[in-house]
Amino acid sequence: MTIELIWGAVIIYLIVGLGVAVLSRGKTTNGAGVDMSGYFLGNRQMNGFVSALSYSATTYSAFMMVGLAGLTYAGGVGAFGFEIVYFAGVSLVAIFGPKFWAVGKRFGFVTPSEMLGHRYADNKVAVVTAAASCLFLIPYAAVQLAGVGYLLAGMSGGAISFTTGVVVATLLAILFSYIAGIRSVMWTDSLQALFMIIASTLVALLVVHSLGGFAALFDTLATQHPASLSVPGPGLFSFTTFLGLTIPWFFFSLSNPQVSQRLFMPASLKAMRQMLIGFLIFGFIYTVVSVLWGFSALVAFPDLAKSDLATPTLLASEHVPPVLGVIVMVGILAAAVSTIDSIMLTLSSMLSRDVYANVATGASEAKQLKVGKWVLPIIAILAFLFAELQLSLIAVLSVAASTGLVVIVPAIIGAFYWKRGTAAGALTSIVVGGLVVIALYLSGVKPLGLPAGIWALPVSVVLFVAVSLMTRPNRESAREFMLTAGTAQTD
Amino acid sequence: MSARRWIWGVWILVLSCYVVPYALLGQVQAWYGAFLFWCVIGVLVIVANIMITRTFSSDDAPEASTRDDELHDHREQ
Repeated sequence: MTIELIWGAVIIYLIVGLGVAVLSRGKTTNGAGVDMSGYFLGNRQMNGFVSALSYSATTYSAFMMVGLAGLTYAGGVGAFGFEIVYFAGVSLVAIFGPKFWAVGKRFGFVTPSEMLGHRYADNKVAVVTAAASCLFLIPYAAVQLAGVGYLLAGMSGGAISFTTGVVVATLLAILFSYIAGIRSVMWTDSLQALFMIIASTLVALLVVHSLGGFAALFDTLATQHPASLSVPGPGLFSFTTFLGLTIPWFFFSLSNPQVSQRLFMPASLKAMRQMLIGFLIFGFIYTVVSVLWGFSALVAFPDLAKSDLATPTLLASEHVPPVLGVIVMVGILAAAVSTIDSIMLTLSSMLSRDVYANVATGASEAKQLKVGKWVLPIIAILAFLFAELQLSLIAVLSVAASTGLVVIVPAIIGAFYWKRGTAAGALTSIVVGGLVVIALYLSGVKPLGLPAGIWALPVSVVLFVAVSLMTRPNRESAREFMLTAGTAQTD
Repeated sequence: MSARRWIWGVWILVLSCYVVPYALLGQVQAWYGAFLFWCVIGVLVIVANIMITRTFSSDDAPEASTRDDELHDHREQ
């Protein structure tokens, strides 16, 4: 693959993406009276189709086509099961979506952390939730940036340096999120989502065809790698590992603010339904395609030194024409950028709304928005520096991200369903639960032989319930909130 | 079937994602084993979500607005 071809593809992607971002500007995000809800939520008027594509592009990062294919290569069909459990977890949107939407509209919430602070009648809950989200998601974004660096460096044979790749991804993410806030994120996401699904499906079909078709692919797997078609399979997906991976990911749609914030945005519940069903159809196809990539690589190149090489090796092989290879490379770049820009936008809204506005009490919407726009590039630069430094702590925090964020889930579910839940309970479960997760990952300790992914949720549930029962709830704010959400009855 | 029942259906699907492949399909090393099973689960999850959300309308959530009104009434009292 020539360097001209790679740069040409990246530049076309940049120009088209920027064009879409500029076209997405509107009165709600760039007009005279734009406020926090306008810039960060599209004035709660997003339509279903764009929301579905954007939700898909935000959820699915470069992990799918590189990481999941690699996991399938190394661990077999268990990787597919892991993704399907996550996929089933998105059903939580059907349950909690209308509740988020109703309280967001009624109380004017911009961020999920603001919602928790209001529900538990304590701003500290909002501050701590925002801080925990930054702690885990900035390293996660950094690792995504580093992934783009490796991708471009690897595919160009080193002609494009790692740093150049990281700079390109950082700039794209800043531009796509800054130009029109959530509108430019959503519109560029939509374009990128279409690109991701078309390119990856095309390559999967082509590769499977060149390997003799689906029947031949699975026949070869059954005869030469039979363990890859069952669990625990080659050994990677023991039952405890599977549990440890799937439990945190099952709650992803609630625990990760870059997706839960989306529940405030649809123009109507019908739009939310379109977002959910559209995402599920996209996600199912994308998951099957990524798994087929991994299986194809296993059949075509059974002796790779590292499973992460499955996708790059497949793309560089004779099974994929160079032009299609570079298109998929842009697809992977798009997958990473569309996740990073959403994370950055959400984190900047949380820092301005939940941290700045609580410190500088009485800060106007305009002032909060100004701070949010300043924070956006700062988060990007922070993620860039983390990606460049490649610190081991950052890698640990990134891996711990899904597990670390699951400690927020008891406070979210409790907000809607348990009127006895208190601010102290929410704070303890998030702070102590988060510290326990970090300690387990850093030390590598597995109490009772179980990984951190299994411990995080029960530990935070016990803390939330126990501390709540020992402290006094704010019944009035709980009642008002739950009545609006439809989870409480009038007296 | 009500939305509530479909939600229970999703929980059963999730549980079966763990039980069936590990307990029943461990020895089936072919495409019609765990791979097909999880494919079917994926499709059923989509169907369940279509059914759970079929009352979502283009108007403001009637349920939420009703409760809103109730809340205002309550406050006025």
